[in-house]
Amino acid sequence: MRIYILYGFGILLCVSGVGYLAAEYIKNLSEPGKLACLALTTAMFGLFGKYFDERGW
Amino acid sequence: MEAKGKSNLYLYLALVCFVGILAIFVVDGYLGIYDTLYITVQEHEQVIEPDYWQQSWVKESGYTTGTRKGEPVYFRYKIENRSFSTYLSNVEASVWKGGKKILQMLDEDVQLAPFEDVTLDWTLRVEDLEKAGFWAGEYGEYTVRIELGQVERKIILSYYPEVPGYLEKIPPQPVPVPEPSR
Repeated sequence: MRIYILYGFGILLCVSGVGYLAAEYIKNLSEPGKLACLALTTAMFGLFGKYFDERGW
Repeated sequence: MEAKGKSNLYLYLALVCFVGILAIFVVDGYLGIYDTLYITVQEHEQVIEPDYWQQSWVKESGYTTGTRKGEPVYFRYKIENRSFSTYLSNVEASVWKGGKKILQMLDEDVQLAPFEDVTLDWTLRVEDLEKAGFWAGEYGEYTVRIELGQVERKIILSYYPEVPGYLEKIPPQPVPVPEPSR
């Protein structure tokens, strides 16, 4: 059980770290760049969702 | 089997999107108008990269440098147009003291073709400040403003008096040997 708590904690740190870096980076992006990133992020999450849906999760 | 291949396709497409986001970060970071400033004082060249000006405290206080009284300050300003269109702007460099412009060092229009760069040079001499009637003796602090279109770069330039360096080592003088008393 403890190992899963540690895994969860590690994943949380990774996600928050990547989120923080992305937020810092986005500040310096141009407006078309931000729009393209938003479109690609939406598509990426949609495709991930579809992938897990196909696998029966 | 086909369903598995289809689900893998979704995964690959998602990874392609992720790589696309990273590519946008890199390409968008590269594209744009970049200016690099080189300041040479007393034979030491200082390079101020475009990233330096992004820091919040720099926007307020500017870049600070100093030199000995009487030394000329050499400026070199490189403008890079990393975009697909021609860049046209005016470049101005001036010296300010107490919120008043005292000397115009440069006023030039630049036109840059896509992915071209240009370097502008100018020198600030104490004589120019003296001529303008703003040389304040031994010490003096001035603001150098460089304007590239809407972008402004601020440099605080300090002059200080010449300080004596280390004393030269003098070899010991031979001590005369006293003659033996008789």
